[in-house]
Amino acid sequence: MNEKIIEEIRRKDKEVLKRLKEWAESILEKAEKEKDLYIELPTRTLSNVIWDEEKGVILMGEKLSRRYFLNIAHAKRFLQTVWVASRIKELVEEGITSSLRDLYYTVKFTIPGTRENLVDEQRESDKAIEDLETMLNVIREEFHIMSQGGKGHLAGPIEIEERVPSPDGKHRVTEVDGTMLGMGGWAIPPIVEPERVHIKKVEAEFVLVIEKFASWVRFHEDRFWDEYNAIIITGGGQADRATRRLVHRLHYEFKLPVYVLTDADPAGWYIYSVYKQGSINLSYLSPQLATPAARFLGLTISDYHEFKFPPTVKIKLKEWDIKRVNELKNYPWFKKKEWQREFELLEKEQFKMEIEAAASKHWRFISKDYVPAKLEAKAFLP
Amino acid sequence: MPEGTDIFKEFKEHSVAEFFKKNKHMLGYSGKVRSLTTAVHELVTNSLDACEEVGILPDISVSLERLGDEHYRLTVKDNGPGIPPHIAPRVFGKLLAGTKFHRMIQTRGQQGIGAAGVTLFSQITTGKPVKIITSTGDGTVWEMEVMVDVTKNEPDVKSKRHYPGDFRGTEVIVELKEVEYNRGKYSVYEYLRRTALANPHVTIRFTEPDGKITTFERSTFEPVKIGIEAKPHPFGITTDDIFSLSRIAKSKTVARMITSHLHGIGSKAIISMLHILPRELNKPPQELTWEEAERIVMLFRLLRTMAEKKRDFDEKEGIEMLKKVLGKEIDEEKAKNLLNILKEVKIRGPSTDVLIPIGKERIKTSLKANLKPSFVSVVERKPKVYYGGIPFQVEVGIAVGGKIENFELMRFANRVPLLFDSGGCAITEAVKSIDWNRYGVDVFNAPVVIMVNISSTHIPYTTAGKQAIADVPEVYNEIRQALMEAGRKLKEYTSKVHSINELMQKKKILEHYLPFLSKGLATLTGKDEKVVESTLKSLLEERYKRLEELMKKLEVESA
Repeated sequence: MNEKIIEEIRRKDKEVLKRLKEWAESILEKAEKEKDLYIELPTRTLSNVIWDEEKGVILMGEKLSRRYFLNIAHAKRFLQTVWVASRIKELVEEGITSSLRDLYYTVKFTIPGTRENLVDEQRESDKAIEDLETMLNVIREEFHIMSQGGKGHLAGPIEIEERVPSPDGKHRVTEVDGTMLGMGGWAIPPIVEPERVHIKKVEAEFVLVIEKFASWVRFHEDRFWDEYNAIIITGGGQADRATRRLVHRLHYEFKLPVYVLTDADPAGWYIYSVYKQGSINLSYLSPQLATPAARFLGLTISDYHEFKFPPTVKIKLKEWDIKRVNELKNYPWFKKKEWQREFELLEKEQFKMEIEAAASKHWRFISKDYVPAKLEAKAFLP
Repeated sequence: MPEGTDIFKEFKEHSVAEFFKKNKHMLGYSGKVRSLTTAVHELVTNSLDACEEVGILPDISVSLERLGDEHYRLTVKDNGPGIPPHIAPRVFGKLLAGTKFHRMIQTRGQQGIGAAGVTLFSQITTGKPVKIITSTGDGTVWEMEVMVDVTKNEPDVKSKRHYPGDFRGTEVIVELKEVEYNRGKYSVYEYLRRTALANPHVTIRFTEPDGKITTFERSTFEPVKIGIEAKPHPFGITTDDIFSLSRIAKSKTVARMITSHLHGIGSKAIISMLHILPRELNKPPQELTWEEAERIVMLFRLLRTMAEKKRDFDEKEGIEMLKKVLGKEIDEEKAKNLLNILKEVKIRGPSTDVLIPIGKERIKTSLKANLKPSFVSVVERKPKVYYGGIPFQVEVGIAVGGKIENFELMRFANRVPLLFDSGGCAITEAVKSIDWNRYGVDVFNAPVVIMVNISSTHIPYTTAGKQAIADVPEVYNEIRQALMEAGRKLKEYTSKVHSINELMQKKKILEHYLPFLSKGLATLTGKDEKVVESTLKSLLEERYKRLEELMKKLEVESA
C-alpha cells in the first residue's frame, strides 16, 4: 500500500483523536469554570426525532440534554462514556479495528473499590458509543468499531480498492472487479469509509437493492448486472450500517439511481424506508446513511393483480403484520398517497407475498420478466 | 373486674400460712426465678416509697449470695428515713398490715402483698426469720429478727437489740430457698435495670451471686414530687379495700368511715346511700363482713354506671344491679323509687393531682443515660379517667439506635417494671396494634426500646398477680394515642436519617467513581491523573457540604 493511502487513513484517525481530546478537555474546563461536571448531548429519545420532509430523511432534532457526574442517576453513564472514549482512543492510536462486542468486554470490569461492573450489558457500551458519535460528530466506523454485520453483498460493473490497514504495518490492498466475482459476490466489509473502501471506477447506470441474499443470487447468476448495467446489492434482510452507507455513497458520489426490491409485506417495506430515510434509532446518522432518492420497485399487492400471480402465492396476514401496517400508515414518510393505497389494499385483501413467489411463474421470472418490466414502465413507488 | 379480689376473701377464713401457700402463685411467688424477683421487688419498693415520702434521693444496694442449691441470701439496703422500732415488726411480720389506707397517695406498693410476704416466703422455705437493721438517724441502730405468727397473722419478734451507730436507713437480710438466680428477662437484674430506667433519681447497686457488681447510676438529682394526699375514689374501690379499711378505721359507723376516708362523698350522698343499705352503713366498721363490703362496692358500681351512662341509663339493668346490691329480690315499684333516690347522688370526680408520672424530661434523661440511643421520642399525655372516675396517665418513651441492640418493650405501672404476663397485657396489645412501618421503623426487628408507664391511683391489673394491664378501652386507646404521638416524632427523625443515609450512600458511590473518572479523563487529555482527581474531588466535596450540615443538625436534635 503506498504512503499516500496510509496517510489518508492516518489523517482521519488524527482528526478523531483530536476530537476525543478536545471533548475531554472541555469537560475539565467546565469543571474549573462552572464548578460542575457535565457533558451535553443531543437527546436521543423519540421526542427528538424529526422528519425532514424537504430532505426526505429522518433526522435528529436539536434538543440537548445534560448528563451530570454529580447526579447519582447520571454518574455511571457519565463514567461509561468517558471510559468508552478512552478505549476508542486506544483503538484508534493502535490502528486496530474491533467490534461492538469486543469493546463491550474491554469495559466490562469491576470498578475499583466497588462491587459494581462499569457495564453489565452490551447495550450500555453501545449506547456510550452512540453518545460519542453524536457529541463528537464522528461515526462509529471512524472509531474503528464495527458491528457484527457482514451481511451485505455486491456485484456489478464497479472497481474497488479495498484497503486493510494493519497495526503491524503489513497493510493490504485488494483490487475488486465487480464483474469477476464468484457466487457470493463481494462481501461488503463492516467499514466502508472512503479511506478504506476506495471506489475507483463505476460503469453501472443504477443500483438495484434486493432484500434477501437468496434472491440476490438469482440476479447474480442470471448476470442481471451485465444485461442491465447495474450494481446489485443485498443487505441480507434488515441492512447493516455498512451496506446502507455504501448505497448512500454510490448514490451521492456517482449519481446512481437506487431501486429497492423487497417482499410485499410491512417488514419488507420498512426495510426499504430504512435505506431511504434512515432509522429512528440512528436518526443522527441519516445524513451519512440514508438515500432519500431511492425508489421502491416492488413487490406490491397491486403487482399480484397486474402480473397475474396464482392465488397460491398468497400468505395470510399475521396479527403482527396488521399491527405493523397500522404503524407504517402513520409514519410521516409513508404519508404519500401511493403508499397509503398499498397499505389499504393489503388490509383489504388480507394477504402478503414474498419475492420468491415469483418462481411460481417460472424459475427466472423475477430477474428476467418482473424487474425488467417494472424498470421499463418506471413503475416505482416514491 | 380489673382486680382479682376473691383471693383476699379467703384470707380472713384461713390461717395466714394456708392462705399464702394456696395463693403464692398469684402473689408473685411462682417459679424459682420469679419468686426471687418478687422478693426483691417487695423490698426495693418499700425502700423507694420510704425515700420518696421524705424527699431523699434513694441509694439502694441489692446483693445476692448463693448459699447452696436454690438457696440464696438477699440483702436490700437503703438510705431512707429508717423505720421506727415499734413499727418495724408490723411491716415485716403482719400480712396486709395496712393497705394503702395508711398512706393515701399513689405509691408503688399497690403490687404484691408487701414485705411481710417476703418474711413468710423465707419462713416457709427456710424456717428462718428476716433480719432488719434500721435507724432513723438518731444515733441508735436497731437490729431485730422477725417472723410471722401464722396462726394470728401477727409479728413474732425473735430477737431485738440496739446499739449506738451513725447510720440512717434500713437493711433487710433474708434467706430464701426454692429460688434460682439467672440473668434472663424475668431476672432480678432485669427488674433492677428497668426500675432504674423508670426512676432516674435512684441509684441502684447490684451485686450478683458471682460477685459481679453493676451500678445503675441516677441521671437526675431532682427527687420525685410527692403526690398530694388524696383519698381513694369510690368508683375505683375494691371489696378488699373496704374490708381492710374497716379493720383499721376508727369511725363509729361504716357510713362515717366512707365519708371521711373516701373521696367525693358528701353528707347528701351518704344519706341517699343509707336508704339502700341502712343496716350495713350503720354498723361499726369492725363488724363489717366481707359480703357486706362487697355490697357496698356493688352500690358504688351502680352509682358509677349511672354517672357514666347518664340519660342512657337502662332502668332494667339498674334494677338487676340493685338486686345484687341488696342481695335479694325486690318489687319493681320499690326498685324504681330507690333508683330515683340514687339519681340524686353526686360524687365528685377524682383529682388528677394525685398522679405521679415520671415526667417527660426525666424519661428523656433516663433513656439517654441508660440506653445511650441515637434518638429519643417521649410523650407525656394529659391525665384521663377510666370507668368514669379513676384517673390515669400514660407516658411513652421510644429510644432508637445507638447502643441499643434489639427490640425491647418495657412496661411499667406507677414506675414499677412489669416483667411477667406480657402476652395478656393491654400495653403489649397496644404496641402490637400499631402499624410501625408508617413511622419508618419496623420496631420489632430493629434496635428500639419502647417504654410505657401507666400512672394511676388504681392500675387496672388483669389479675392479682399484678403484672399485666387489663383491656380497659379508655386505657388501651390512650396507650395507642401516646404510642402514635411518639411514633410521629420518630417518623420525623427516621425520615431525616433516611435521607441523610441516602445522601451519604450517593456520596460514597461518587467517591468510588471519582478516581476512576479522573483516570479516564487523564488518559484522554494527557493531563496528570492526580491533578485531575484533586480538581474533581473539590467539586464533590463542595456539592456534599450540605450533608455535613444536616448530620450536625441531627446530632443536635437528638442531644
